Amino acid sequence: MSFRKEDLKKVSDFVWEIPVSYDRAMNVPGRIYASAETLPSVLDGGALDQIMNVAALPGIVKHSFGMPDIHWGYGFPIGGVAAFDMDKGVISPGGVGFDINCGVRLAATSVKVSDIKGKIEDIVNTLYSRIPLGVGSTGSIKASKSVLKKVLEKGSRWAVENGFGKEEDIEKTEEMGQMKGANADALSKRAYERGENQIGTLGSGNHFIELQEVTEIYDKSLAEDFGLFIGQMAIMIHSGSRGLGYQVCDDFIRKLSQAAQKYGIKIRDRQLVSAPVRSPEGKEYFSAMSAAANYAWANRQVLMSLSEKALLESIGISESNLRLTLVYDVAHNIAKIERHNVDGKEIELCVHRKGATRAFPQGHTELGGRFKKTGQPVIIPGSMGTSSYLLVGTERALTETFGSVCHGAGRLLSRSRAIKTINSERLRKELNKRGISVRAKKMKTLSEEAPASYKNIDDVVEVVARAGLAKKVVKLKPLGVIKG
Amino acid sequence: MGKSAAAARIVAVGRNNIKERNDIIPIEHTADAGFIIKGETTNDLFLNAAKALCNLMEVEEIAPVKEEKITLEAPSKEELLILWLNEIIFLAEQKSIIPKDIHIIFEGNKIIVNFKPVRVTIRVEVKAATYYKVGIKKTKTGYSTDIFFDL
Repeated sequence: MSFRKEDLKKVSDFVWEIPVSYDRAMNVPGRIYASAETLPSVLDGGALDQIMNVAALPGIVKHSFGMPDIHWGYGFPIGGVAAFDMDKGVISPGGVGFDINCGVRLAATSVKVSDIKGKIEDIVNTLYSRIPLGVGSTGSIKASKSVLKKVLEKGSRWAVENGFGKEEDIEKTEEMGQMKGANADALSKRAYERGENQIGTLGSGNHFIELQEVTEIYDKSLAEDFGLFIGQMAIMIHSGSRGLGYQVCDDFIRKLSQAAQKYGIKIRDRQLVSAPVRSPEGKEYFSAMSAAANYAWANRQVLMSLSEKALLESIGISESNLRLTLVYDVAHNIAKIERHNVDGKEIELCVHRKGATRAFPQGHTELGGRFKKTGQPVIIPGSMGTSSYLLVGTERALTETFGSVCHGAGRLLSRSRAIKTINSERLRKELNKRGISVRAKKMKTLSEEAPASYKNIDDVVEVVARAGLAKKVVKLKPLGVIKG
Repeated sequence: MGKSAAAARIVAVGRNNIKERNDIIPIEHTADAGFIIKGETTNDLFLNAAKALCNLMEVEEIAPVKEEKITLEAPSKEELLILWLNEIIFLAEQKSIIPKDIHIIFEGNKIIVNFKPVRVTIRVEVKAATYYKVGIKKTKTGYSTDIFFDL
């Protein structure tokens, strides 16, 4: 369904509401974060219908949210956030997605880009040859069932204990890279089968590893806290839980389809099958999703370690001169049990973020160590060839959106339209001219992931910042990228 | 056994060829891939949905392997269809095979599928067939449903 701007109530310059009067089935209003300029891109397609479908789920609290990068997905929209009451509300695999704990990590180095100017292509080529990527790619780790169980239970810690990264990486990962409620026994045999060879693999589609340069600093003090400076080389890694996560989602959509009937949960889209949060079915999904989330954290931890080796080899420097240091790792497809203040009362909620990033402010009890002082780092990658941003969460995000912001630029063009309208070879040459080296398994991926296929990341981040949901810290420009 | 149980071949063609078929009609979707799938019978519908998926994955055939049989069971035709498509995704990702020369036999809420697996390479990752908007409807000419794949 297409919406008109007039159908929405303007709450502020950056917040638009779908009132409950718009559709009787809605339990709460829908709220979309957009500027007057970015709003038109949201009105067409199915994203706002999906906001309404989520608003109609039982036990939803406050609003069904659309972040500034919102676009049409399946079940929840991409860029959707919804929190549910622990007693009256539900948990839904469609509110997390197939790629459980798809997420991003940013790691900084001690290297100045000016010192490696002539080596970018070599670095990109080495990353491309050392990182397993593409459809069904398998890694060098062949995990037996017992090893896989440990990965599912320990997440990042498993990777660090097995030589992939440092202890400090764990502290710099959301949830310390380990969801506590994980139950490896809740996963099917098939999920294990799909997970045994894919630890340390990038995957394909919009997943990437990007070499970046810090080009702008908006908050000097926070940038220093995170060890970032102008001209610094950094890498960004975007990947998730691979086939194992897809299988967990598929298994539980089928299981919860029966639960939805059993508990009389009315849904408008089969992809939104749900179970009460505290029901045995809801708990089982949460424990399996948590295990898959841990797999994703272990995966990104291994990918970072493999990237470090590729950087050392291609730049030809020592580990101590490279000093690859994790800035932070965020999940952007996940459901969490969190405490939030609702109408003056502190309560526990089940918060779903699908294509959305947690953005807790300084002082939040969930944040440990240095992040209690700085606020949680929020990583918003741009599309291929455009800038990415590091921000920190704010108090306003906590009070307005359950501490959530967007996860990227957000798609604008369908993949088929992008392939039809964007010439991949021309695009590769254009990116090369701009000093961005690209290696992809499939040239068509370049068209699908071209900057023109996405909203303008600067506009999206501007909405986040001006709405007060997060504060900009640094901007990073791409130097080279590998894609599956 | 009528036409619905007759042998059907999945022919791997480029993704762009899909638009020329009137039983597999692409739906523009911002993030993922959608199709309206039609079939004179539910059997045809299942086969055409599999064709759409294999086209989407851009499979390239390498060599045939020995005949296989799978049995899938679900409480509704829609769930059975998604189960069938996700089975193909699993076979493609995990075993590098796709089904060819497919015979589907419906038995209550079960399908028994006999097929000749073909070893393939896959160029496009499809994460899963989703339940979004799936609903098998009877039409004047047969059956129809929308299907969306997560890419």
